[in-house]
Amino acid sequence: MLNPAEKAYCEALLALRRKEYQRAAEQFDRAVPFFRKDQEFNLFRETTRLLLTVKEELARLEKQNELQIEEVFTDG
Amino acid sequence: MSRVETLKRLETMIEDFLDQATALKDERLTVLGGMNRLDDLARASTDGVDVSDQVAEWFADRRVWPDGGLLRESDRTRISDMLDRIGQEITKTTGDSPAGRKVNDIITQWLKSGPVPGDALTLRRGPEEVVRQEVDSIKKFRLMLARLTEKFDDHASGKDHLLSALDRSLKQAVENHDREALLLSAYIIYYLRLGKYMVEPYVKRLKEAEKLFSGKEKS
Repeated sequence: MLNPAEKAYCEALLALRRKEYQRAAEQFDRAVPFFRKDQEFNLFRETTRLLLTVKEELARLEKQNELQIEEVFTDG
Repeated sequence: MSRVETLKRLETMIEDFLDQATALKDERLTVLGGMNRLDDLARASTDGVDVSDQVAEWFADRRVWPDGGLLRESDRTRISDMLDRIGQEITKTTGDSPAGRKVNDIITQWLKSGPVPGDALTLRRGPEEVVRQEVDSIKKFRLMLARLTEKFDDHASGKDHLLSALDRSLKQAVENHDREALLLSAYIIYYLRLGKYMVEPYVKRLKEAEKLFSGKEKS
């Protein structure tokens, strides 16, 4: 049987292949106890986390732009 | 260049990197995905679920695993361990049924001589190259539905009523932090609700399970 961390690492990589980044990040987190010192694991995990941070920041900025546009319309 | 443009370029760059890094591991991921699926089946069989049909499908899907190509020695050992366990559980669960016997025969063949030979397909491996996969939302959804169907087969196997399969899906969502099991549970609940079933207790459990998945899904 695979241990839970191995299953999680496998699920994470399969999720990355499907471009499901949030799911991949969650599964990488579950695999940390077993793969903490694995360089390749850390590269995948940190890169995925960085990508999610970039996406969150982009979403925040785009929402801010939408709000500004609404304000312009509100002011006429 | 604006902050948004810079971030978008960075986003594309990181996505490309991850695409290419996973594409280089494509063959390995195929094996790991297969082992992961087999592990799910081994766990289900330990819970008393009859997985004969799913194991037969597992073998059918992997007929082209070449004898010496994709599998490492450690993979063979682990697959053999899982198959051995599944074989024992199938015997307990199904007794001496023809389906159980047939699957056990295939398992025994694997345990004796490795992968069951399928259509003779021997590929000489060339240098690894990166194949970029364009995955659109329709394709992603279709793949997800296929995985949910497999999951549903596992959860419904050996059960007498859809509510029992739902109970199993909800348990798996919580215990394994399995987002797809959560999604499957929601589908079943909605289906039952349309059929005028009393599903309130399950809706409550679904909402509790949802709290475990605090992050928003992004594609």
